[in-house]
Amino acid sequence: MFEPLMLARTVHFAAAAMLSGVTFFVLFVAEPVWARAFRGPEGAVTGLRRQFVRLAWMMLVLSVASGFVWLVVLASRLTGQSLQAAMAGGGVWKVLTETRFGNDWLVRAVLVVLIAISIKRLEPLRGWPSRWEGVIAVLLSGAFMASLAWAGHGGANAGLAGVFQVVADALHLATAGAWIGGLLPFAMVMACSLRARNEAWNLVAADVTRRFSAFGVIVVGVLLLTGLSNTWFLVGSLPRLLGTTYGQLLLLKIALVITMVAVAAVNRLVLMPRLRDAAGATGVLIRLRHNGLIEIALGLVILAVVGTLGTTPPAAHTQVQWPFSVRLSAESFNDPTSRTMALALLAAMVAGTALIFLGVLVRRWRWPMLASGGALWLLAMPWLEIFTVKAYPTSFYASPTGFSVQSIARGEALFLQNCSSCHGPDGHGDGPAAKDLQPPPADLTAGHIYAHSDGDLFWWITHGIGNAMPAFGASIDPTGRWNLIDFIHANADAARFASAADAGMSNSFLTPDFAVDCADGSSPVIGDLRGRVLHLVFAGAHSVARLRTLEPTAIVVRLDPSISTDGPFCSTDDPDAAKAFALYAESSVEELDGTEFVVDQSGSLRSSWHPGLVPDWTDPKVFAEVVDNIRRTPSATRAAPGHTHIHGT
Amino acid sequence: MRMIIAISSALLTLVAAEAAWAHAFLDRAEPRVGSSVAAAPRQLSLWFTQNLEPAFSTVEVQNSAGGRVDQGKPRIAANVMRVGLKPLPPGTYRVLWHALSVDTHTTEGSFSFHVGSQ
Repeated sequence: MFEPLMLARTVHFAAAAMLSGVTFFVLFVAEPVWARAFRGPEGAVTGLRRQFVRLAWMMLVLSVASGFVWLVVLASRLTGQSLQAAMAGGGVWKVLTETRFGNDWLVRAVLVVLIAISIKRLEPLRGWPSRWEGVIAVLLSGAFMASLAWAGHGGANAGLAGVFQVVADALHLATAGAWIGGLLPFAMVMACSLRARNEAWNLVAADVTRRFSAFGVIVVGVLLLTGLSNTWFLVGSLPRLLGTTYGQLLLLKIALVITMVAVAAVNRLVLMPRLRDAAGATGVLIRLRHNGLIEIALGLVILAVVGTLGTTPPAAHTQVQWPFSVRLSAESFNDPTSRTMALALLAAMVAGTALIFLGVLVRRWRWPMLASGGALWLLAMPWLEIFTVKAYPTSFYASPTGFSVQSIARGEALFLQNCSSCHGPDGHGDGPAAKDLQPPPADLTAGHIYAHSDGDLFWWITHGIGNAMPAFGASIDPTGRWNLIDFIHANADAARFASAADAGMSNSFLTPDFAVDCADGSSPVIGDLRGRVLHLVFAGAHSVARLRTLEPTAIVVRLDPSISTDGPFCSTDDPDAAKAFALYAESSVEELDGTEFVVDQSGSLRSSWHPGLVPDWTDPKVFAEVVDNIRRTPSATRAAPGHTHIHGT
Repeated sequence: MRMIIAISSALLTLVAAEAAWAHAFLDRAEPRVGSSVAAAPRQLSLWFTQNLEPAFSTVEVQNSAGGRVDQGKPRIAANVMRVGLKPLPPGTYRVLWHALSVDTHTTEGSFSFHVGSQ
């Protein structure tokens, strides 16, 4: 697919990088070297400066042209107008004045004018009239590159994190631009030294390589830190790095950067020292120029990848397609039968790594340490598979349904229709068809359910499990499959909830989510109310008296819409709420009347009560004690969105 | 040099083959996506995963006959879009949103919610 916007982006990134690179290179790398190497005017230096000025003008014109194309194409996309209409009919003006991108472009247009002035001030005969003018030129062209951060993914997030992200991104752009853009002037100096073929220019080449490499070390450090910040914000996790288009492009980019750094290291550590030897200088200079061009090619490819990344949805917002058939798992540490083995392997790997590390650092005992470290790793290698479990392309899919009562209720209906004949109506694996099946259907309330990711369950429901279970991908739509997973989790939680609550254990049972309408006109969902202990009351015809005694902070689920709503409570009559909570009460919707639940401050379902049970929650003193107990013993916290169901067992 | 430019442009077109569009995704809504609310809500709020450009982001709420029931121009602050609603009689309503995130990517989508008992 030909994508004009991506092309305009890439060309603009490259031109802006070259522009900032050439001013940076002239001021901080070339001029100091020339000042030391030559007393008085040097013809070849004047010639190089003239080439640099020409290069800067070309890149400025190219940036303006590509920036203009970017703006017009974008305006035409956003307004739905043709390119001409967007220019004439105000679409471009609207984008310029009313969007962050447009405001950024206006600022950068001013920068273009100032940069033009500062290029004009660069004289081929003696450089900038003063050092300060050079510094200003570098700052202006650096700002021109850095300000691209406001035209990309950076800073699209809200709040302080967004500010941090955009600043890191701006720094990343400015640094990368100066480095990649400095490569062409670097190659030009090498070419010039090669033509001169004299001692003085050999030294210039050596000094330029050393200075450029010294900056390179700083550049790599800054790129690493700011790149990590960008990766954290836009990718967020290892599966996303490995399993999304965005993440894979980023890995490609990182690999290209590492190659570039390796070439730069060869220049500095291997080639530069050899320039001292006049006899071999020509060959070394040819290789330096050659390497400079290789780096430029790598830099251009990196810029193309950057241009593509900017038009690809960040990994943090797309589903992960896991590319491997296994994934890492810490399950072997939990399982008593494999725990000793897992710990021994872990110790072997840590010790092996430490030995290899020490062997590299310390000259004495180097080979014994490297050998024993390697041997430990080799010994551990055949057993490492206990740290992995089988994985599927969907293993890291995130559920889009939330753990809502609607989803659970729909999942229950689908379960009874499609699954209960084998897995049983309660999911214990004891359906009417189960006795003829080999292997027997899984007990979906057993502990193993918590060891599988939502994405694993999604894969099995979609594609089946060999001969043991049929595939439902064709008969149940994706949302329905996620609904089933929500029901399976709720059902497994419900099977544990009563006994855990009776034992006073503080296990974490994510509360099914539903919306309530409050007296102040707001309509929060239960998940929004984290931070306080919630009292849920399921009220039918028998609960009218109870409603009058409730604290105003209680949340009432009306089982019968005709129950009075005059109370000060937040309430709902969502029938799905009753269906979902009936699971946890181990009763039917009809028997739910009068049942009460307490949800702790981290959103975990903790305790339940129904009329007739002692102690009696209708006694305000007893109930206050229940709430107090729960408040003092917080449950294991878990991530707020996208329930992951990792339980402490 | 010329060869390097040729190689890089070839690589560039290769990499360019994969370009996707989509950005500010709907995070959550009030009334919630697909929900039933007993009382008619007075406004619709949409939370997005990215900050929005007010000039190019819109929302329309339609009743089952396709008539518009929102108050027109939405108020947009950072990643939240809100629009006032006319008094809604019981029924099913469709929300059609169109968002431009500040990093200049457009997305759109729709969902329904229901007012009154089912």
